[in-house]
Amino acid sequence: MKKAKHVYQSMNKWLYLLFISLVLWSCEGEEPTLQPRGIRFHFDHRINGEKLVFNSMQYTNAAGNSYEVKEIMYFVSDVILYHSSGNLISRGSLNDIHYTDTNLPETWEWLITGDYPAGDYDSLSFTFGIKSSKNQSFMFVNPPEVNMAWPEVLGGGYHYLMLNGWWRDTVNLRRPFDFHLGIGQIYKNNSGQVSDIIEFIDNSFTVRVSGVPFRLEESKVTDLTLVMNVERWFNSPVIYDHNIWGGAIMQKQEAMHAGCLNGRDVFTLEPYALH
Amino acid sequence: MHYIRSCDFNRNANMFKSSFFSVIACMFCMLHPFYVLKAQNESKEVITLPAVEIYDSIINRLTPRTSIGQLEMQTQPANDLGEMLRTEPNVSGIRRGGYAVDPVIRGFRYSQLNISLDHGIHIEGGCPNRMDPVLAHVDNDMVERIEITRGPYEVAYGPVQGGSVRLITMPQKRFGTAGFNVTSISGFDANRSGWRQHLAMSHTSPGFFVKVTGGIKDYGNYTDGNGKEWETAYKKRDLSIDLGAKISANDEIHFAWKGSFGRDVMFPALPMDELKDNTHILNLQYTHLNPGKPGHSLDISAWYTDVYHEMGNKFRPQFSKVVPPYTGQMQTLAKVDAATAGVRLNRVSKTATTDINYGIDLNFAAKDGTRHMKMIMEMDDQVFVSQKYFNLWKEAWILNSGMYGALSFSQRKFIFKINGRLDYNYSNSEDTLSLISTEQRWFDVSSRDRFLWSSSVISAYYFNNQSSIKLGLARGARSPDLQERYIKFLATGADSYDYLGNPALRPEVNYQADLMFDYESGTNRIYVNIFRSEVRDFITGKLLPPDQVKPVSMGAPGVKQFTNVDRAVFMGFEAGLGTRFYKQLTFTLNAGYTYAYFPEIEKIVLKNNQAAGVVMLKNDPVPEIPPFEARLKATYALWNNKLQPELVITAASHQGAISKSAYEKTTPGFVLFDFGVSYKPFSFTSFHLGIKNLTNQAYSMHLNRNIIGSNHRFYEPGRSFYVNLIINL
Repeated sequence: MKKAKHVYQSMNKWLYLLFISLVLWSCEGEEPTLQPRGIRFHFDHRINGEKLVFNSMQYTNAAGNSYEVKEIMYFVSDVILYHSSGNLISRGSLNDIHYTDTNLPETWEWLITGDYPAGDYDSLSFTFGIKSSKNQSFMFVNPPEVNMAWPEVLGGGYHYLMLNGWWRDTVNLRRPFDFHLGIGQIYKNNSGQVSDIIEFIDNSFTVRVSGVPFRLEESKVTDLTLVMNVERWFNSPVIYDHNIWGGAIMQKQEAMHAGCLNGRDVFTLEPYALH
Repeated sequence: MHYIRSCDFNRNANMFKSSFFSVIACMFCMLHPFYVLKAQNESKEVITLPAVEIYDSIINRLTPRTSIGQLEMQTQPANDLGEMLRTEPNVSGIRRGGYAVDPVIRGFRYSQLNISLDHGIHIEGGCPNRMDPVLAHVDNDMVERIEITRGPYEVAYGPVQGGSVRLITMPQKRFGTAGFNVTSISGFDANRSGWRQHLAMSHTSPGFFVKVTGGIKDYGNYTDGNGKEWETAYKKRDLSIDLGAKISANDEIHFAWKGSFGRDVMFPALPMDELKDNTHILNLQYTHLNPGKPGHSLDISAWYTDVYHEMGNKFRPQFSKVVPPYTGQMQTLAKVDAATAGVRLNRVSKTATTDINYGIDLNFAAKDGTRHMKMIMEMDDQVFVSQKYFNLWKEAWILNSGMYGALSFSQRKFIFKINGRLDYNYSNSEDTLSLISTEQRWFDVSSRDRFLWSSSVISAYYFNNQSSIKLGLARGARSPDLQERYIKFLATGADSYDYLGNPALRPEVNYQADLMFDYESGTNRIYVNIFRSEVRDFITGKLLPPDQVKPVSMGAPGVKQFTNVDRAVFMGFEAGLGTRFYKQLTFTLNAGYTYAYFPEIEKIVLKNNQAAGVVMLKNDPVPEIPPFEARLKATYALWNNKLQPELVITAASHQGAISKSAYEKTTPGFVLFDFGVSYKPFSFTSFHLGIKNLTNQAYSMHLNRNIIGSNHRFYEPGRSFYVNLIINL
């Protein structure tokens, strides 16, 4: 029995040492963050050069419609940078898509990183919306992106743009408009009936952003402001009249096409400045 | 009654640690060696359960192994085998719902563990979310014994890397005196408002036996210690038939069919619930015995298993209505077929000093399944329905064939056991998904084949009849499973991220050392097992840059892909002792702890859910490792063992060793008190009633999953009254 007692006491000591050694075994450590090279876009929304004021009927488009903006949600994708050497630098990643929502501040920034050559760049371009080859239904299943779903029967995938607001019609009645862009449909005999759809149109378009040249430096993120000049959706080159197209245009390819033509010069690029 | 609330741990972890270790120290002090007695009751009217281990052969005595017997499973209110396993030292479980706890042994899980039935039957669960881990396909009332081996030491039932669990379901008493036996097990659990009924009828004769069993389980939601009700209801039906015949004096043949059928099994920690799960297990076995040479045998067995698994979100609110922030109804239904087939030939021979066991086996596993997603939206005053079918697996399969051998021999005070296993592993899938960018090849299916080898050596030195020391060294290799290779965008991990398989994964290899000390004096026992494992090419989920791959599952914040990490280190111990005072009061104490870390691992720094950089972490803990846990059991025998009250105290420490790379969260410790009484008024019947979680502690185990789409932990049941009635005629 003495032997047993001795063994038991030794074990207690041993267990204690084991605990201590386990606790002290490893010192955790961290190596410095590897800072990627890239661009951080800051999305800004303006009308006539001024910060967009939401839910205020204070704007007038080229067609003479008084309107107000409630919210804007949209996708941009496939950024291409134009190097001063003349090379086009594509990121070439699998899913180069960003969602911006004026209701969600966390979507107002987009960091794109990659093996971009350092140096001077003249400009950049991107796809507004998502090209049809990538625009697959159910590729987003979580809010907020999932709520951009474009009905399968109308072409599937996701909205490029939801610009929701109100306008005053010809009898001064405040009416809602859903200026939505996405895959278009061609209807037999222009019936507008889902069962008569004979063709789908990829309405996504490339935006070559005008603005300032910028520079990418080694191991550094360059901040740029991408401004959506909201009034341009309705003004040029096509004068868009809400009284003609009405509130909902998802099944009106001509209206969406007008929007897409106008959208090509909606964006401008600026150096980022903290406000 | 003293108890420590979990919130106290939150307030002061250090205070908890000191108090906790004090409790443990007191437990050890109470068990003064002078009174140490063997915990296993030797009376014929045994109700007291085995204290620490049951050994059934000299070969197995060498390995770090424990066993759970049939009586313990029948008397406890455990819902499934995973819950039963959690009562063992250094064994924990992952809870996702009220049923199907997934075992974790020394931090190893899933296919790091080789879980088999009888003579090597392997089941492939159908659910990619692991609603139906292997153990969920077998009802605990059908199992005669569970054997748990910690480490890659049991290679006779397939390749094993971290540990193995073997369920013995084949009737132990088959041929003999003619007789008819009926066993009924009835149980009620007040917290879950549920009951179970199991009935087994068997007939034995010298040349033939038949056993038919059936069981029903119907449980409702449970309530945790805070009074919150969790959607954990489930229904299970089980059936089995065993037939055996002695075709000659030396030859036996045995056929078995087991069916398990689950319906409406709720999993609040997963994006879907199990709607239907049908399992069929068929087994045919031939055994040749040589009465002239006891211990010599030849077994040839063949098996086939089929699991049909259907899951969906029809019990979730978003199925039938718009739940903000969604703007449409979201409906999901997934169906998976999983099947395995295998054959095994095993030979055992024996001399006076040597045991030899060798054989060959072949195991085929296949999976195929789709997910159907539907979105119902209202836009411009019209209702639109969009739907799509995705492959979860597309005719994915793995073939593993192996040969193994074990040699055990003794030399004076030494006993040695040498194991070896060689496997050929081939996998393929008809998947057409291909994710390849200019920078990286993320997912590109092609067939793979590999050779794996595993071996181990255990040597034991017996100082005397009372004490021994054993050293085990092992190398255990396993190939990646179907999930790790081919799963596509499903939340299968501890977090709610979608997981993407990786066909290019390399096998995981575990280099393990065990040092085991055993002391037995008279009827007493003390044991300590210490281990260290170094896992090379450890398979874990690595977060893919969110702007590279988008999740597909509702609620998933991103995608992780299974990747080989250079190495992970696991170390810890199991320790226990058993004693009895005055022949009536029995104590057992078991404890286990594992600490695991990655010497180096990459962490993606996130900002607004976008990859903002990469940090290399050193010695970052491996995620999902259970904390230190100890269990003290005290039993008092009265009226010649007819009445036995029992108190079980379970204490788990605060888990602060959390993975930074996986953004893991800490878990507070807890102390639980369970009280039960066993009463055996007649030799053919016994009652077992008690209260689990006597103090109604609100607690969550570290491995419990979060509620889907939130950071809220899934809690364990609160106070629960249970009663079990066993009738044996």
